Amino acid sequence: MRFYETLYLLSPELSHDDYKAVLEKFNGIIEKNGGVVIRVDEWGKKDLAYRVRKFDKGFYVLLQFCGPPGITALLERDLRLDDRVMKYQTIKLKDKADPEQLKKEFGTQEEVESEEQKDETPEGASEIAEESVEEAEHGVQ
Amino acid sequence: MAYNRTRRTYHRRKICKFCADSTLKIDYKDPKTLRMFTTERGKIIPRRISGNCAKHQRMLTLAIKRARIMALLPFTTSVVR
Repeated sequence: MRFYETLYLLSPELSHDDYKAVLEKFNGIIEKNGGVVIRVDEWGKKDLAYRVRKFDKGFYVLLQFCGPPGITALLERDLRLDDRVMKYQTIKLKDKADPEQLKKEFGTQEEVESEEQKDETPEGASEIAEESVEEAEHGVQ
Repeated sequence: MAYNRTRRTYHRRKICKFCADSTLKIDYKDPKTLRMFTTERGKIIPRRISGNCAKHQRMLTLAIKRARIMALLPFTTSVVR
């Protein structure tokens, strides 16, 4: 299993339900293809450094997962075809990774975060979401 | 007329910030840190000015370029908003 992370950028016009649906969809793709989702980090609505599709803002989602080598091709095909995804980038973090061990490293964080952010993102959550993002980043390092 | 050869030869020792501070990580997801190594126009500051070591400069340029792709850092600021 390889350890990857994909950062993708969603259109800021998505409703709360649509946003959740997109997350579910991509998590589902990984699990369907023999991968394991380690952590999903929702950064919330952030300002962009330049305009993308005439939007100044967008939802960032960081998805860390393990999977067999071909899994990124499948995931990226769907990311490319989905109109709601404006940008995406996948980076390999480790060649040989043990998903169980990684889950232990990130596991507690994942549960806390996903519960905290359920009500907050995407609407009106910029401040709180950003705070938890910063915490999460320190946690990773 | 002897030409003026008084070059100002006091070098300030430049230190690679990432070598000096091991808590400082290079990560494309952290635009705040990366911004310290770009000019106001968004260009990457060269090694001879920033003083970074070759290894960290390589990692830094890669991180900046990745961040640019994801709209975390600007390619340039000449675009009128």
